[in-house]
Amino acid sequence: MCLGIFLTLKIFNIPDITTDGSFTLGGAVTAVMLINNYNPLITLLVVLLAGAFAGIITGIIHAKLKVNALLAGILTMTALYSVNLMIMGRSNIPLVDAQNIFSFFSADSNSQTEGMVLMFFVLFLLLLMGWLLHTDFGIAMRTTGNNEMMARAVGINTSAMKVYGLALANALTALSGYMMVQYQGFVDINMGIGIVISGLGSVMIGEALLKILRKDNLWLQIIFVVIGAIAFRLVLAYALSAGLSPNYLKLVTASIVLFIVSVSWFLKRRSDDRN
Amino acid sequence: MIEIKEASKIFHPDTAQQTIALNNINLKINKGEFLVLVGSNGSGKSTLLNAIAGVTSLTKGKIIFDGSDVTSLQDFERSKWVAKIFQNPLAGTAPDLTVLDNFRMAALRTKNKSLRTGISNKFIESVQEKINVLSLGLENKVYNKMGSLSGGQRQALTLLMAVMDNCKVLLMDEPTASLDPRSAETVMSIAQKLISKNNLTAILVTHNMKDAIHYGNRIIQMKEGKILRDLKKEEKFNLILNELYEWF
Repeated sequence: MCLGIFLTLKIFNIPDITTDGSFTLGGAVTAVMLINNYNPLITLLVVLLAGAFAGIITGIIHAKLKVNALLAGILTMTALYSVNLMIMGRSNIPLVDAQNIFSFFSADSNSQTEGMVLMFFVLFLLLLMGWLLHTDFGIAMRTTGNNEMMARAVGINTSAMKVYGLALANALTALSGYMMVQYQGFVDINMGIGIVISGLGSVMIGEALLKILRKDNLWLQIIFVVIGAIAFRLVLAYALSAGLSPNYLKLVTASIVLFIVSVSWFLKRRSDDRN
Repeated sequence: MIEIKEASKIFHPDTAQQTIALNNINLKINKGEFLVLVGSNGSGKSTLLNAIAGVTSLTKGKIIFDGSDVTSLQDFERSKWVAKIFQNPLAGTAPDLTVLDNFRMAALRTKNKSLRTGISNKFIESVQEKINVLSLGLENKVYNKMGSLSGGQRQALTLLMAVMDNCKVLLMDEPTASLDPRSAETVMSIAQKLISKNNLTAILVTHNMKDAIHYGNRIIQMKEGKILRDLKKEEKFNLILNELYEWF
Protein backbone atom coordinates (compact mmCIF):
# COMPACT_ATOMS: atom_id res chain seq x y z
CA MET A 1 0.00 0.00 0.00
CA CYS A 2 2.84 2.36 0.85
CA LEU A 3 4.50 1.61 -2.50
CA GLY A 4 1.20 2.50 -4.19
CA ILE A 5 1.03 5.79 -2.31
CA PHE A 6 4.69 6.43 -3.14
CA LEU A 7 3.85 5.92 -6.80
CA THR A 8 0.91 8.33 -6.84
CA LEU A 9 2.23 10.93 -4.41
CA LYS A 10 5.94 11.02 -5.17
CA ILE A 11 6.16 9.83 -8.77
CA PHE A 12 2.95 11.31 -10.20
CA ASN A 13 2.44 14.12 -7.69
CA ILE A 14 -1.22 13.09 -7.33
CA PRO A 15 -2.82 12.91 -3.86
CA ASP A 16 -4.94 9.78 -4.41
CA ILE A 17 -7.31 8.78 -1.63
CA THR A 18 -8.98 5.98 -3.55
CA THR A 19 -6.64 3.97 -1.30
CA ASP A 20 -9.18 3.78 1.56
CA GLY A 21 -11.66 2.09 -0.76
CA SER A 22 -9.30 -0.08 -2.81
CA PHE A 23 -7.67 -1.49 0.37
CA THR A 24 -11.06 -2.76 1.55
CA LEU A 25 -11.92 -3.81 -2.02
CA GLY A 26 -8.84 -6.07 -2.04
CA GLY A 27 -9.89 -7.50 1.32
CA ALA A 28 -13.53 -7.99 0.30
CA VAL A 29 -12.67 -9.82 -2.92
CA THR A 30 -10.14 -11.96 -1.04
CA ALA A 31 -12.58 -12.98 1.70
CA VAL A 32 -15.45 -13.79 -0.64
CA MET A 33 -13.24 -15.82 -2.99
CA LEU A 34 -11.40 -17.71 -0.26
CA ILE A 35 -14.57 -18.75 1.61
CA ASN A 36 -15.84 -20.02 -1.74
CA ASN A 37 -12.71 -22.19 -1.97
CA TYR A 38 -10.95 -20.36 -4.79
CA ASN A 39 -7.20 -20.85 -5.08
CA PRO A 40 -5.31 -18.05 -3.22
CA LEU A 41 -3.18 -17.33 -6.31
CA ILE A 42 -6.24 -16.98 -8.57
CA THR A 43 -7.73 -14.79 -5.83
CA LEU A 44 -4.56 -12.68 -5.89
CA LEU A 45 -4.93 -12.14 -9.63
CA VAL A 46 -8.58 -11.06 -9.28
CA VAL A 47 -7.68 -8.74 -6.39
CA LEU A 48 -4.99 -7.05 -8.49
CA LEU A 49 -7.44 -6.58 -11.37
CA ALA A 50 -10.14 -5.21 -9.04
CA GLY A 51 -7.69 -2.71 -7.50
CA ALA A 52 -6.44 -1.69 -10.94
CA PHE A 53 -10.03 -1.16 -12.08
CA ALA A 54 -10.69 1.17 -9.12
CA GLY A 55 -7.54 3.10 -10.04
CA ILE A 56 -8.61 3.31 -13.69
CA ILE A 57 -11.93 4.83 -12.61
CA THR A 58 -10.16 7.50 -10.53
CA GLY A 59 -7.68 8.02 -13.37
CA ILE A 60 -10.39 8.55 -15.97
CA ILE A 61 -12.31 10.94 -13.70
CA HIS A 62 -9.12 12.93 -13.06
CA ALA A 63 -7.19 12.75 -16.34
CA LYS A 64 -9.98 12.57 -18.89
CA LEU A 65 -12.83 14.46 -17.19
CA LYS A 66 -10.32 16.94 -15.68
CA VAL A 67 -11.76 16.64 -12.17
CA ASN A 68 -9.37 17.58 -9.34
CA ALA A 69 -7.38 14.49 -8.27
CA LEU A 70 -8.48 14.75 -4.64
CA LEU A 71 -12.15 14.94 -5.61
CA ALA A 72 -11.75 12.10 -8.13
CA GLY A 73 -10.32 9.94 -5.34
CA ILE A 74 -13.11 10.89 -2.93
CA LEU A 75 -15.75 10.01 -5.54
CA THR A 76 -14.29 6.58 -6.24
CA MET A 77 -13.65 5.89 -2.56
CA THR A 78 -17.25 6.78 -1.67
CA ALA A 79 -18.62 4.61 -4.45
CA LEU A 80 -16.35 1.74 -3.41
CA TYR A 81 -17.94 1.61 0.05
CA SER A 82 -21.20 0.44 -1.54
CA VAL A 83 -19.36 -1.79 -4.03
CA ASN A 84 -17.47 -3.46 -1.18
CA LEU A 85 -20.70 -4.02 0.77
CA MET A 86 -22.24 -5.54 -2.37
CA ILE A 87 -19.26 -7.89 -2.78
CA MET A 88 -19.25 -8.89 0.91
CA GLY A 89 -23.04 -9.11 1.36
CA ARG A 90 -22.57 -8.09 4.99
CA SER A 91 -20.24 -5.84 6.93
CA ASN A 92 -17.87 -8.48 8.32
CA ILE A 93 -16.70 -11.88 7.07
CA PRO A 94 -14.47 -14.17 9.16
CA LEU A 95 -12.12 -16.50 7.28
CA VAL A 96 -12.55 -19.61 9.41
CA ASP A 97 -10.93 -22.76 7.97
CA ALA A 98 -10.58 -21.22 4.50
CA GLN A 99 -7.33 -21.89 2.66
CA ASN A 100 -5.16 -18.78 2.45
CA ILE A 101 -1.86 -17.74 0.90
CA PHE A 102 0.05 -18.80 4.04
CA SER A 103 -1.49 -22.29 4.25
CA PHE A 104 -1.10 -22.57 0.46
CA PHE A 105 2.70 -22.47 0.88
CA SER A 106 2.85 -24.51 4.10
CA ALA A 107 0.13 -26.82 5.47
CA ASP A 108 1.12 -26.16 9.11
CA SER A 109 1.28 -22.40 8.73
CA ASN A 110 2.62 -20.53 11.74
CA SER A 111 3.89 -17.01 12.39
CA GLN A 112 7.29 -17.93 10.91
CA THR A 113 5.69 -19.04 7.62
CA GLU A 114 3.54 -15.92 7.60
CA GLY A 115 6.63 -13.77 8.12
CA MET A 116 8.46 -15.53 5.28
CA VAL A 117 5.55 -15.15 2.86
CA LEU A 118 5.12 -11.48 3.76
CA MET A 119 8.87 -10.89 3.38
CA PHE A 120 8.82 -12.60 -0.02
CA PHE A 121 5.98 -10.36 -1.23
CA VAL A 122 7.65 -7.19 0.07
CA LEU A 123 11.02 -8.05 -1.53
CA PHE A 124 9.37 -9.05 -4.80
CA LEU A 125 7.37 -5.81 -4.96
CA LEU A 126 10.43 -3.72 -4.05
CA LEU A 127 12.43 -5.24 -6.90
CA LEU A 128 9.47 -4.99 -9.29
CA MET A 129 8.91 -1.32 -8.50
CA GLY A 130 12.63 -0.50 -8.73
CA TRP A 131 12.92 -2.28 -12.07
CA LEU A 132 9.75 -0.70 -13.45
CA LEU A 133 10.80 2.85 -12.60
CA HIS A 134 14.14 2.33 -14.38
CA THR A 135 12.55 1.10 -17.63
CA ASP A 136 11.68 3.48 -20.46
CA PHE A 137 8.03 3.23 -19.36
CA GLY A 138 9.02 4.05 -15.78
CA ILE A 139 11.09 7.05 -16.87
CA ALA A 140 8.04 8.24 -18.86
CA MET A 141 5.97 7.88 -15.66
CA ARG A 142 8.50 9.91 -13.67
CA THR A 143 8.72 12.56 -16.40
CA THR A 144 4.91 12.90 -16.36
CA GLY A 145 4.91 13.55 -12.61
CA ASN A 146 7.94 15.83 -12.69
CA ASN A 147 7.22 18.10 -15.68
CA GLU A 148 4.00 17.39 -17.57
CA MET A 149 4.70 20.07 -20.20
CA MET A 150 8.07 18.52 -21.04
CA ALA A 151 6.54 15.03 -20.98
CA ARG A 152 3.99 15.98 -23.63
CA ALA A 153 6.72 17.69 -25.65
CA VAL A 154 8.58 14.36 -25.87
CA GLY A 155 5.48 12.50 -27.01
CA ILE A 156 4.16 11.09 -23.73
CA ASN A 157 0.37 10.81 -23.47
CA THR A 158 0.31 12.13 -19.92
CA SER A 159 -3.42 11.48 -19.38
CA ALA A 160 -3.00 7.80 -20.24
CA MET A 161 0.16 7.63 -18.15
CA LYS A 162 -1.71 8.94 -15.08
CA VAL A 163 -4.42 6.32 -15.58
CA TYR A 164 -1.75 3.56 -15.77
CA GLY A 165 -0.08 4.92 -12.63
CA LEU A 166 -3.31 5.08 -10.63
CA ALA A 167 -4.24 1.57 -11.81
CA LEU A 168 -0.90 0.17 -10.69
CA ALA A 169 -0.97 2.04 -7.37
CA ASN A 170 -4.46 0.81 -6.50
CA ALA A 171 -3.63 -2.73 -7.59
CA LEU A 172 -0.81 -2.62 -5.04
CA THR A 173 -3.17 -1.22 -2.40
CA ALA A 174 -5.70 -3.98 -3.09
CA LEU A 175 -2.85 -6.50 -2.76
CA SER A 176 -2.16 -4.99 0.64
CA GLY A 177 -5.83 -5.56 1.60
CA TYR A 178 -5.47 -9.15 0.32
CA MET A 179 -2.52 -9.80 2.63
CA MET A 180 -4.08 -8.01 5.61
CA VAL A 181 -7.35 -9.96 5.48
CA GLN A 182 -5.54 -13.28 5.40
CA TYR A 183 -3.17 -12.21 8.15
CA GLN A 184 -5.89 -11.00 10.54
CA GLY A 185 -8.41 -13.68 9.51
CA PHE A 186 -11.39 -11.48 8.66
CA VAL A 187 -12.54 -8.61 6.50
CA ASP A 188 -14.45 -5.62 7.81
CA ILE A 189 -16.16 -2.96 5.72
CA ASN A 190 -14.44 -0.23 7.78
CA MET A 191 -10.92 -1.69 7.64
CA GLY A 192 -9.77 0.88 5.05
CA ILE A 193 -10.90 4.02 6.84
CA GLY A 194 -7.89 6.29 7.38
CA ILE A 195 -5.45 3.78 5.88
CA VAL A 196 -4.26 6.42 3.39
CA ILE A 197 -2.95 8.49 6.31
CA SER A 198 -0.81 5.56 7.49
CA GLY A 199 0.53 5.20 3.96
CA LEU A 200 1.30 8.90 3.69
CA GLY A 201 3.01 8.81 7.08
CA SER A 202 5.16 5.86 6.01
CA VAL A 203 6.21 7.52 2.74
CA MET A 204 7.04 10.74 4.57
CA ILE A 205 9.04 8.99 7.31
CA GLY A 206 11.07 7.27 4.59
CA GLU A 207 11.61 10.58 2.81
CA ALA A 208 12.59 12.38 6.01
CA LEU A 209 15.11 9.62 6.89
CA LEU A 210 16.68 9.91 3.43
CA LYS A 211 16.94 13.68 3.82
CA ILE A 212 18.65 13.22 7.18
CA LEU A 213 21.09 10.79 5.52
CA ARG A 214 21.42 13.27 2.60
CA LYS A 215 20.91 10.48 0.09
CA ASP A 216 18.87 10.82 -3.06
CA ASN A 217 18.61 7.74 -5.20
CA LEU A 218 15.56 6.06 -6.68
CA TRP A 219 16.34 2.59 -5.31
CA LEU A 220 16.94 4.06 -1.84
CA GLN A 221 13.69 6.03 -2.07
CA ILE A 222 11.77 2.80 -2.71
CA ILE A 223 13.59 0.88 0.03
CA PHE A 224 13.00 3.71 2.50
CA VAL A 225 9.26 3.63 1.80
CA VAL A 226 9.25 0.13 3.31
CA ILE A 227 11.55 1.21 6.15
CA GLY A 228 9.21 4.15 6.75
CA ALA A 229 6.21 1.80 6.89
CA ILE A 230 7.94 -0.42 9.46
CA ALA A 231 9.01 2.62 11.52
CA PHE A 232 5.47 4.01 11.44
CA ARG A 233 4.01 0.71 12.67
CA LEU A 234 6.66 0.47 15.40
CA VAL A 235 5.76 3.93 16.68
CA LEU A 236 2.06 3.00 16.80
CA ALA A 237 2.83 -0.35 18.48
CA TYR A 238 4.98 1.44 21.05
CA ALA A 239 2.17 3.93 21.75
CA LEU A 240 -0.31 1.07 22.29
CA SER A 241 2.07 -0.93 24.48
CA ALA A 242 2.67 2.20 26.56
CA GLY A 243 -1.00 2.10 27.52
CA LEU A 244 -2.63 4.27 24.86
CA SER A 245 -6.33 3.50 24.46
CA PRO A 246 -7.04 2.06 20.95
CA ASN A 247 -9.85 4.64 20.75
CA TYR A 248 -7.16 7.32 20.32
CA LEU A 249 -5.26 5.42 17.62
CA LYS A 250 -6.48 7.51 14.68
CA LEU A 251 -5.76 10.71 16.62
CA VAL A 252 -2.21 9.52 17.31
CA THR A 253 -1.80 8.44 13.66
CA ALA A 254 -2.84 11.89 12.41
CA SER A 255 -0.55 13.57 14.98
CA ILE A 256 2.43 11.46 13.90
CA VAL A 257 1.82 12.37 10.24
CA LEU A 258 1.54 16.05 11.18
CA PHE A 259 4.82 15.78 13.09
CA ILE A 260 6.54 14.13 10.11
CA VAL A 261 5.21 16.78 7.71
CA SER A 262 6.64 19.47 10.00
CA VAL A 263 10.02 17.71 10.19
CA SER A 264 10.07 17.30 6.37
CA TRP A 265 9.28 20.99 5.94
CA PHE A 266 12.06 21.93 8.38
CA LEU A 267 14.58 19.66 6.61
CA LYS A 268 13.62 21.06 3.20
CA ARG A 269 13.99 24.64 4.44
CA ARG A 270 17.39 23.84 5.94
CA SER A 271 18.49 22.21 2.68
CA ASP A 272 17.23 25.19 0.63
CA ASP A 273 19.07 27.61 2.93
CA ARG A 274 22.26 25.57 2.50
CA ASN A 275 21.93 25.71 -1.30
CA MET B 1 6.82 22.00 -45.26
CA ILE B 2 4.37 23.67 -42.84
CA GLU B 3 1.20 25.13 -44.25
CA ILE B 4 -1.14 27.28 -42.17
CA LYS B 5 -4.49 27.91 -43.81
CA GLU B 6 -6.95 30.59 -42.68
CA ALA B 7 -5.92 30.14 -39.06
CA SER B 8 -7.84 32.09 -36.44
CA LYS B 9 -7.75 31.92 -32.68
CA ILE B 10 -10.23 33.77 -30.50
CA PHE B 11 -9.80 33.64 -26.74
CA HIS B 12 -12.94 34.03 -24.57
CA PRO B 13 -15.30 34.33 -27.57
CA ASP B 14 -18.57 36.22 -27.11
CA THR B 15 -17.50 37.70 -23.78
CA ALA B 16 -16.25 41.13 -22.74
CA GLN B 17 -12.71 39.67 -22.65
CA GLN B 18 -12.83 38.44 -26.26
CA THR B 19 -9.35 38.62 -27.83
CA ILE B 20 -8.53 37.82 -31.44
CA ALA B 21 -5.04 36.40 -31.14
CA LEU B 22 -4.80 35.10 -34.73
CA ASN B 23 -6.83 36.66 -37.51
CA ASN B 24 -7.11 34.54 -40.65
CA ILE B 25 -3.41 33.74 -41.01
CA ASN B 26 -2.16 32.11 -44.23
CA LEU B 27 1.46 31.04 -44.19
CA LYS B 28 3.74 28.54 -45.93
CA ILE B 29 7.10 27.68 -44.38
CA ASN B 30 9.40 25.63 -46.59
CA LYS B 31 11.67 22.83 -45.45
CA GLY B 32 14.96 24.18 -44.12
CA GLU B 33 13.60 27.69 -43.71
CA PHE B 34 14.58 29.53 -40.51
CA LEU B 35 11.77 31.97 -39.80
CA VAL B 36 12.05 34.75 -37.23
CA LEU B 37 8.77 36.06 -35.79
CA VAL B 38 8.78 39.58 -34.35
CA GLY B 39 6.03 41.85 -33.09
CA SER B 40 4.92 43.71 -30.00
CA ASN B 41 3.35 41.96 -27.01
CA GLY B 42 -0.06 40.52 -27.83
CA SER B 43 0.59 40.48 -31.58
CA GLY B 44 -0.03 36.72 -31.76
CA LYS B 45 3.53 35.36 -32.18
CA SER B 46 3.44 32.92 -29.28
CA THR B 47 -0.16 31.91 -30.09
CA LEU B 48 0.93 31.03 -33.62
CA LEU B 49 3.86 29.01 -32.28
CA ASN B 50 1.61 27.23 -29.76
CA ALA B 51 -0.95 26.50 -32.47
CA ILE B 52 1.76 24.86 -34.59
CA ALA B 53 2.97 22.86 -31.56
CA GLY B 54 -0.60 21.79 -30.76
CA VAL B 55 -0.60 23.41 -27.31
CA THR B 56 -3.33 25.84 -28.43
CA SER B 57 -6.22 24.66 -30.60
CA LEU B 58 -7.39 26.85 -33.47
CA THR B 59 -10.85 28.39 -33.52
CA LYS B 60 -10.80 28.09 -37.32
CA GLY B 61 -8.34 26.96 -39.97
CA LYS B 62 -5.90 24.14 -40.65
CA ILE B 63 -2.31 23.24 -39.96
CA ILE B 64 -0.59 20.86 -42.38
CA PHE B 65 2.81 19.21 -41.95
CA ASP B 66 4.32 17.62 -45.07
CA GLY B 67 0.85 17.16 -46.58
CA SER B 68 -0.71 15.66 -43.41
CA ASP B 69 -3.47 17.64 -41.72
CA VAL B 70 -2.47 17.74 -38.03
CA THR B 71 -5.07 20.29 -36.87
CA SER B 72 -6.94 17.79 -34.69
CA LEU B 73 -3.80 16.18 -33.23
CA GLN B 74 -2.83 16.96 -29.63
CA ASP B 75 0.58 18.35 -28.69
CA PHE B 76 2.08 14.98 -27.68
CA GLU B 77 0.98 13.49 -31.00
CA ARG B 78 2.58 16.35 -32.96
CA SER B 79 5.89 15.74 -31.18
CA LYS B 80 6.52 13.25 -34.00
CA TRP B 81 7.36 16.30 -36.16
CA VAL B 82 7.77 19.19 -33.76
CA ALA B 83 10.19 19.98 -30.94
CA LYS B 84 9.69 23.08 -28.84
CA ILE B 85 12.14 25.16 -26.85
CA PHE B 86 10.36 27.05 -24.11
CA GLN B 87 11.00 30.60 -22.93
CA ASN B 88 11.58 29.32 -19.39
CA PRO B 89 14.77 27.21 -19.44
CA LEU B 90 13.33 25.13 -16.58
CA ALA B 91 10.24 24.13 -18.58
CA GLY B 92 11.92 21.95 -21.20
CA THR B 93 13.50 19.42 -18.85
CA ALA B 94 12.45 17.29 -15.87
CA PRO B 95 14.48 18.67 -12.93
CA ASP B 96 14.25 15.64 -10.59
CA LEU B 97 15.36 13.21 -13.28
CA THR B 98 18.99 12.75 -14.28
CA VAL B 99 20.43 14.23 -17.47
CA LEU B 100 20.50 10.67 -18.86
CA ASP B 101 16.82 10.05 -18.05
CA ASN B 102 15.92 13.32 -19.80
CA PHE B 103 17.94 12.35 -22.87
CA ARG B 104 16.39 8.87 -22.88
CA MET B 105 12.91 10.36 -23.15
CA ALA B 106 14.09 12.74 -25.87
CA ALA B 107 15.59 9.81 -27.78
CA LEU B 108 12.20 8.06 -27.68
CA ARG B 109 10.17 11.10 -28.80
CA THR B 110 8.63 9.21 -31.74
CA LYS B 111 8.90 5.72 -30.28
CA ASN B 112 7.11 3.59 -27.69
CA LYS B 113 8.20 3.93 -24.09
CA SER B 114 8.36 0.20 -23.44
CA LEU B 115 9.23 -2.02 -20.49
CA ARG B 116 12.92 -2.22 -21.31
CA THR B 117 15.84 -0.58 -19.61
CA GLY B 118 17.18 1.45 -22.48
CA ILE B 119 19.96 3.31 -20.67
CA SER B 120 22.82 1.04 -21.74
CA ASN B 121 26.55 1.83 -21.80
CA LYS B 122 26.23 2.46 -25.54
CA PHE B 123 23.42 4.97 -24.93
CA ILE B 124 25.42 6.72 -22.19
CA GLU B 125 28.45 7.04 -24.51
CA SER B 126 26.30 8.45 -27.31
CA VAL B 127 24.78 11.05 -24.95
CA GLN B 128 28.25 12.02 -23.68
CA GLU B 129 29.45 12.40 -27.28
CA LYS B 130 26.52 14.67 -28.12
CA ILE B 131 26.99 16.77 -24.97
CA ASN B 132 30.71 17.03 -25.67
CA VAL B 133 29.92 19.06 -28.81
CA LEU B 134 28.53 21.83 -26.58
CA SER B 135 31.94 22.32 -24.92
CA LEU B 136 30.19 23.23 -21.67
CA GLY B 137 31.96 20.54 -19.61
CA LEU B 138 28.71 18.68 -18.99
CA GLU B 139 29.70 15.29 -20.41
CA ASN B 140 30.68 14.01 -16.94
CA LYS B 141 27.46 15.26 -15.36
CA VAL B 142 25.10 12.82 -17.09
CA TYR B 143 24.21 11.19 -13.75
CA ASN B 144 23.43 14.56 -12.12
CA LYS B 145 19.87 15.70 -11.72
CA MET B 146 18.85 18.14 -14.42
CA GLY B 147 17.71 20.57 -11.71
CA SER B 148 21.30 20.95 -10.48
CA LEU B 149 22.37 22.64 -13.75
CA SER B 150 22.12 26.34 -14.59
CA GLY B 151 19.38 27.80 -16.80
CA GLY B 152 21.79 28.26 -19.72
CA GLN B 153 23.14 24.71 -19.43
CA ARG B 154 19.59 23.32 -19.31
CA GLN B 155 18.51 25.35 -22.34
CA ALA B 156 21.55 24.13 -24.30
CA LEU B 157 20.75 20.52 -23.36
CA THR B 158 17.08 21.07 -24.30
CA LEU B 159 18.24 22.06 -27.77
CA LEU B 160 20.32 18.89 -28.09
CA MET B 161 17.39 16.83 -26.82
CA ALA B 162 15.07 18.48 -29.33
CA VAL B 163 17.05 17.22 -32.32
CA MET B 164 17.79 13.72 -31.00
CA ASP B 165 14.94 11.78 -32.57
CA ASN B 166 14.19 12.78 -36.12
CA CYS B 167 12.60 16.16 -35.36
CA LYS B 168 11.63 18.10 -38.48
CA VAL B 169 10.43 21.40 -37.04
CA LEU B 170 12.10 23.32 -34.22
CA LEU B 171 9.97 25.95 -32.46
CA MET B 172 11.76 28.40 -30.18
CA ASP B 173 9.70 30.77 -28.06
CA GLU B 174 12.10 33.47 -26.81
CA PRO B 175 14.59 30.77 -25.79
CA THR B 176 17.13 33.24 -24.42
CA ALA B 177 14.76 35.65 -22.64
CA SER B 178 15.66 34.33 -19.18
CA LEU B 179 19.39 33.88 -19.78
CA ASP B 180 22.40 36.12 -19.16
CA PRO B 181 23.97 37.60 -22.35
CA ARG B 182 26.83 35.07 -22.56
CA SER B 183 24.54 32.03 -22.05
CA ALA B 184 22.06 33.53 -24.52
CA GLU B 185 24.78 33.83 -27.17
CA THR B 186 25.96 30.26 -26.54
CA VAL B 187 22.43 28.87 -26.76
CA MET B 188 21.65 30.73 -30.00
CA SER B 189 24.90 29.69 -31.67
CA ILE B 190 24.20 26.05 -30.70
CA ALA B 191 20.68 26.41 -32.11
CA GLN B 192 22.06 27.84 -35.36
CA LYS B 193 24.53 24.95 -35.73
CA LEU B 194 21.92 22.27 -35.00
CA ILE B 195 19.40 23.80 -37.40
CA SER B 196 21.82 23.90 -40.32
CA LYS B 197 23.43 20.52 -39.51
CA ASN B 198 20.03 18.75 -39.40
CA ASN B 199 18.43 20.90 -42.13
CA LEU B 200 15.53 21.72 -39.80
CA THR B 201 12.62 24.01 -40.42
CA ALA B 202 12.82 26.47 -37.53
CA ILE B 203 10.71 29.27 -36.09
CA LEU B 204 12.17 31.69 -33.59
CA VAL B 205 9.98 34.12 -31.64
CA THR B 206 12.09 36.94 -30.26
CA HIS B 207 11.99 40.45 -28.85
CA ASN B 208 15.74 40.75 -29.35
CA MET B 209 16.17 42.78 -32.55
CA LYS B 210 19.87 41.87 -32.87
CA ASP B 211 18.93 38.18 -32.88
CA ALA B 212 16.14 38.91 -35.36
CA ILE B 213 18.70 40.47 -37.73
CA HIS B 214 21.46 37.93 -37.12
CA TYR B 215 19.54 34.66 -37.30
CA GLY B 216 17.24 33.11 -39.88
CA ASN B 217 16.58 33.54 -43.58
CA ARG B 218 13.05 34.94 -43.32
CA ILE B 219 11.43 37.45 -40.99
CA ILE B 220 7.75 38.04 -40.30
CA GLN B 221 6.31 40.92 -38.31
CA MET B 222 2.95 40.30 -36.66
CA LYS B 223 0.46 42.87 -35.38
CA GLU B 224 -2.98 42.31 -33.87
CA GLY B 225 -3.07 38.69 -35.01
CA LYS B 226 -2.14 39.43 -38.62
CA ILE B 227 1.03 39.20 -40.69
CA LEU B 228 2.15 42.76 -41.38
CA ARG B 229 5.49 42.17 -43.14
CA ASP B 230 7.14 39.06 -44.61
CA LEU B 231 10.73 39.43 -45.83
CA LYS B 232 12.67 36.53 -47.36
CA LYS B 233 16.32 35.84 -48.21
CA GLU B 234 17.97 39.01 -49.71
CA GLU B 235 15.30 41.33 -48.33
CA LYS B 236 15.89 39.86 -44.87
CA PHE B 237 19.69 39.88 -45.23
CA ASN B 238 19.67 43.53 -46.32
CA LEU B 239 17.56 44.54 -43.34
CA ILE B 240 19.46 46.73 -40.88
CA LEU B 241 18.84 47.13 -37.16
CA ASN B 242 17.54 50.72 -37.29
CA GLU B 243 15.08 49.79 -40.00
CA LEU B 244 13.76 46.96 -37.81
CA TYR B 245 13.33 49.27 -34.80
CA GLU B 246 11.24 51.58 -37.01
CA TRP B 247 8.74 48.77 -37.51
CA PHE B 248 7.56 49.18 -33.93
